[in-house]
Amino acid sequence: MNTADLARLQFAVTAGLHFLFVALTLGLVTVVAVTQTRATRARDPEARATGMRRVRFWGGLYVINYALGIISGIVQEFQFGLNWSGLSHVMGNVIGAPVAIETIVAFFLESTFLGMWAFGFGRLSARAHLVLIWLVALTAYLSTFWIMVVNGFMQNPVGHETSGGVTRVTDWGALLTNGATWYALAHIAGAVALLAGLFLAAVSASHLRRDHEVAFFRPTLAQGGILAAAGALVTIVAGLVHLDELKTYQPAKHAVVSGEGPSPEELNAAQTAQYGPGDWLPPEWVATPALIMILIGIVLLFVSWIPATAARRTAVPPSRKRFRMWFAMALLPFGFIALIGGWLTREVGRQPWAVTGELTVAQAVSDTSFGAMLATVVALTTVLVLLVVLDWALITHYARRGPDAAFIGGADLPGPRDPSDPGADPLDAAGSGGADVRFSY
Amino acid sequence: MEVFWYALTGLLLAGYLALESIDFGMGMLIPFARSERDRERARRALVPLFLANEVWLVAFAGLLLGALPLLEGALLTALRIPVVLVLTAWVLRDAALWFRTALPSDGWRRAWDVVLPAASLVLALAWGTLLAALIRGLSTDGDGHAVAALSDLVHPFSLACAAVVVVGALRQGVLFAARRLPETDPEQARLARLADRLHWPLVGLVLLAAVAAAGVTDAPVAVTLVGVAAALGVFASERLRAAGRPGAALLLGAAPLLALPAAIGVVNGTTVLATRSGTGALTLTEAVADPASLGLLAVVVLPVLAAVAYGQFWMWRVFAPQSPRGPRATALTDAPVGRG
Ligand code: HDD
Ligand code: HEM
Ligand code: HEM
Repeated sequence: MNTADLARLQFAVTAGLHFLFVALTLGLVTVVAVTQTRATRARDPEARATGMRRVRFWGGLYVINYALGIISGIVQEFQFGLNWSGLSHVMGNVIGAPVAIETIVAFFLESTFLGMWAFGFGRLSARAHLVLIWLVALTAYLSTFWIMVVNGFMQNPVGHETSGGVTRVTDWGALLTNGATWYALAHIAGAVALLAGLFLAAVSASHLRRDHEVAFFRPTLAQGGILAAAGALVTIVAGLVHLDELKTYQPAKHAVVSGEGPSPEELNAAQTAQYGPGDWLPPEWVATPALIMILIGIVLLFVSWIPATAARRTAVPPSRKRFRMWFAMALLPFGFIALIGGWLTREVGRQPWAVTGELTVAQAVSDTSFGAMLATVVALTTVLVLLVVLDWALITHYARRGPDAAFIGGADLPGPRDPSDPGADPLDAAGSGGADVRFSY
Repeated sequence: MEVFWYALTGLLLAGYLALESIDFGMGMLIPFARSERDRERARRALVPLFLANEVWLVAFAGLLLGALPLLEGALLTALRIPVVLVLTAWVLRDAALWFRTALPSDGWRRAWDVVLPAASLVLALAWGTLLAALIRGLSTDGDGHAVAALSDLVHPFSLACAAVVVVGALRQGVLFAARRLPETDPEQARLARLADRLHWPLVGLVLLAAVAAAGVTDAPVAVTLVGVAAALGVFASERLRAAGRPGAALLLGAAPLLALPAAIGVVNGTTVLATRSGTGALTLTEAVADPASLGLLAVVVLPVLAAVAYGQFWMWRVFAPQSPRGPRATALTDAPVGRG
């Protein structure tokens, strides 16, 4: 292990964790926004109340999940300067602006909107509150777009020139229309829908299994199954197109992933001719996560809708459809596994380059001692992993307790609230000032 | 144009310090709260605002990478120790605010009640030393790179600045807490005593740091002026507080925190990363991004910053109203309580 390996390990852990959470965020925010739209548009007050109760439940899980998206995103952002200063040295003019836009649009705008939404229940008009959740969703996708512009450039550097060791953009249009960005975006859009669908179905099934809140969770079981299957379809189509496209800009990755095309010797010889002697091929093992991802994708397309069939209103209650309930819950981890498999394919498949054909990982890493890098990695990774475990435990906890324990609850919420929940404590109104005492957070 | 981007970046950092010092202060005050009710009250006062406050630092780091790419790499690498401290403490502090009441268990809450003040204190200390090291200029390592050595971080000037940030943040926390309570609240008397006790020590520390800065930098007159202005700010803030104007007091109370980033600019000018030996320093012209990147940033970032400013103004108006004074505040604080 050298300094660069440590920095890579840290980036892989942080980015992997960040992505697991933000992928669910992206999927869930869309679901919440659609649910809230339907609730707001409902004429019948009963339907509207039920709809808003769904918004609070799924929105609450979304907000808990969001916490870790933020926490890991912060660590991500500072890693560039801490561990990868070589990247900004050579590529600063290219990646700097998009990352700046991502963080300013994502964090500044998005968290402001999110705060307004999460604390705006009952405080804002229904319409303004609805607009806010759509703005949160929009900024989340915008931030994804900008960060994928950077990542796409690293896979397939376009629209730039290098002179005197400094890289400049010559054509922003080329950067913004980079295939390596857009294929990935389409693929990710499918994957986050798939993930949100699996999550919806799994949480719903865990309640239906216990005959708990059947009317509340029956529709979301159906929605989840259908969303998952549709997401899987989009993911697969985009993935196959993407795989084929790799031939043109990352032939070595394509060869390892698909097992087709020129032999490794030929590929390395071609690169040696271009960049000088060396090992220019990604590690062989990338084929494994790629295969796992593809297998999971295909299997999910065919089976992820099955639990939805248990949502039909038949004489048999869903709790008796044991297998389908269990199956919905069993599928969830596979979505996450495929997600990580995909990123391993993309990022490890790019090795030994940080920016394909332009900058190697070894050149990109900061000029730091091994000890300092080790201390950074240990400190940040420990804290992050600890918080990930806690956060996931909380998501599970709130998902199990169901709609009555919503993390972002309201006084007009039907049904009893947990008396041990401090959100229900009557703090004096003036003392708690503007902070809405009806929220448990 | 270059100076504009450097100033804008600095402004985001200053905004962060001014706003988050309130959160640091409230966090450090948690152990002084007498009951669960007061602790939870303090946390809830922060929760709607802390995200909006801390994002100023995220935006700062983003803009640093976008507008001054070379500076971001050199700066963070040089300041690795305090930066890693800030990051870990930041992440833990956030977790404490998000999660404290997520589980109805006393042990769980007590654990976060330790994490929150400890992380807030570390944040205040680390920011103080980090900013002091930048004002004074960094050391140069064997390879000619700028680096904040351990001796830079525990230098008496750094310790003085760290004390300024800790005490300054505590005082802001006290002012913020008091501003939100009705005048009749029993806590008011205690908070007023605390603010009163913190005021002279803070003025003293600010002046001490200013004198120390005059001794360790090349711009003694300018830093002394910045220090005196900050001390006057604190003094005026105390006057306003005593006169029953907590909002204005809070605004002026931020003076010591704004003085630190301002001093970096005043002392080092356009040397954006200064070292005492001059070797390994970085100038603005070297660090700034090229015009094409800056153009893209101007188009996308400037309107967003305006939108954010508006959003944050709204957040403050709705979530940090001054207690019972004025009709709007009363309407809001009369919101339904508990299960309503
Ligand atoms: C802005 C650029 C960028 C973006 C959006 C991502 N990455 Fe990345 N990634 C890098 C920039 C980068 C990097 C800094 O350039 C690394 C460090 C070493 C390397 O080769 O690339 C890297 C490495 C890296 C590695 C280790 C590969 C290796 O060292 O063999 C993994 C597993 C990931 N990343 C995973 C992810 C995930 C899960 C992401 C989605 C959130 C992600 N990356 C987004
Ligand atoms: C190395 C690259 C990345 C950096 C530096 C980074 C940085 C950040 C930061 C600082 C935040 C907190 C802001 C907020 O929560 O609004 C954040 C959140 C977010 N990021 Fe990233 N990010 C990176 C990669 C990605 C990727 C690849 C995606 C998606 C494909 C992504 C999607 C998001 C989303 C949707 C959020 C907001 C939702 C949430 O916090 O859960 N990010 N990111
Ligand atoms: C038949 C199914 C699939 C195919 C053919 C496929 C294909 C691919 C390919 C070729 C890449 C690498 C792109 C690159 O390196 O530039 C990739 C990446 C990725 N895959 Fe898949 N994939 C499939 C299913 C899935 C599923 C089910 C998920 C998640 C639920 C998923 C998530 C990802 C992610 C997150 C990435 C990284 C981002 C990106 O490059 O788009 N994939 N996929």
